[in-house]
Amino acid sequence: MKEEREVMILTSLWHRNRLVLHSRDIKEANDLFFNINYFIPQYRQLIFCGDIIKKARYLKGVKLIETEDLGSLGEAFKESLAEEELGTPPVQIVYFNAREETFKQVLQNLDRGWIATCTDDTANFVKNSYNIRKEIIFERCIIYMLDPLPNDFSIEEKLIEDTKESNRGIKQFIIQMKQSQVHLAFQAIQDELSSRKKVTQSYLSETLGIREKTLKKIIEIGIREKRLDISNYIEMIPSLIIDFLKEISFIKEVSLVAVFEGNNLVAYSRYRDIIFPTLNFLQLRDKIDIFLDSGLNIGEYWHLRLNSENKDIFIYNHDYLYCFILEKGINFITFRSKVEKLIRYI
Amino acid sequence: MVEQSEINSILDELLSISESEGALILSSDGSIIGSKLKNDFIKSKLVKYFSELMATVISITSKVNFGEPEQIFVQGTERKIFVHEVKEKNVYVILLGTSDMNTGFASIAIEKIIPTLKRIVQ
Repeated sequence: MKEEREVMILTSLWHRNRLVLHSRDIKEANDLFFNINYFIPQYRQLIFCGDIIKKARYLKGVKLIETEDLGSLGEAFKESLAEEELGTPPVQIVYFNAREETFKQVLQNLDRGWIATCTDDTANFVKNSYNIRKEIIFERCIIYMLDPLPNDFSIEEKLIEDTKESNRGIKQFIIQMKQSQVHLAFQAIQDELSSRKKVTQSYLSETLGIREKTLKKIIEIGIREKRLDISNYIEMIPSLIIDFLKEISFIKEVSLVAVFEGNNLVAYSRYRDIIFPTLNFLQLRDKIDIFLDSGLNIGEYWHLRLNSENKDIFIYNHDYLYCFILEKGINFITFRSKVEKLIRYI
Repeated sequence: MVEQSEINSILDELLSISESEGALILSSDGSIIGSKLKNDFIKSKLVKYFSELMATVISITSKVNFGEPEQIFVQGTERKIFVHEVKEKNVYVILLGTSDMNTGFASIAIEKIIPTLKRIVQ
């Protein structure tokens, strides 16, 4: 499968977009499903229905629903999707050899989370009934994408690019690992939000060890799987601070930057593989501020330079608290002037 | 044993820098080896806060494998602070001054007294 196609299919499945796999021979459409099913996150509850083939019956952890009562099936699925908001695992429905009636009574009422395989007659109904966003054409099959792709699918592009030389097992491992990370991080953020009113993007980046793009993916997948938009509860990095971080990233001796507003971490960027909990910066700030109590007034704004054997710490206390871990050998005077110049723009 | 007259002479040398306001020599356990303050600072609190600052710094740098702290320099809109570790002696030299104290001269003065301090502190 070409990489561009893989990216689109992975993105669609991860985002629970609706897919129809069409072929003249239903066997070909079903086989296509088994070629792409490892893109479906493993924590989702797979539900197979329709003309379930023998091969599908032996898959681990799959629920098989075999009923002729399409009306009841449609109602049951609607309830399953509604329950996801209450914490039940998200479902992924696969309907083998779906007919027109299947769409009318079961799938048309479900706005996400299903894949259907079908043959020519049903495909014509699908094309006439849905706004097809994209068609992926294979030699013997076509995938109809019924939902738009998200604006940014760079994480999926990177996953496919990184695994393009790998076999299916390795590919599955790497993709599933990322999907599980996103899933678990969403749960952790939800938990965190239950004890705090708001959290900052930088706090989450540091504590969960995730980058900005992954955080966006967590929010998007959360909306698709739980219908819950947590973005309103996460304070993003102010744009002027982002510009500051970009400029600082050009200085090769900078290993880590953290910016605090009061005790809140509002920006965090790590350029080297070092472990330094940012709370240490706040501890140092407090140890400087307390000198006022001894009659030693350092002043409203101050900066601290701490040289140690292997690395240096630089803290610039202004309207924000700018904290840096620096490699040895940096010219402090030049660096401080650069920081001061950039801070003037904020 | 520390010869107090030599300590006093070291402190005087540090305080000869224009705009300096005080100098302290502390051991790592927080005891005062010598101190001279020109200003109305509360000495007991200064000693306590510098000891706590150094304990925090040592704790942080050791936990993250940054090695031993060597020096700390704080420059505020009102004041400057130098803290220099005297290696192998577990002693800190602290120099306080106004924001107009010349940073370069202060550093040179501290470097200059280190060999004497190393010699007289057991």
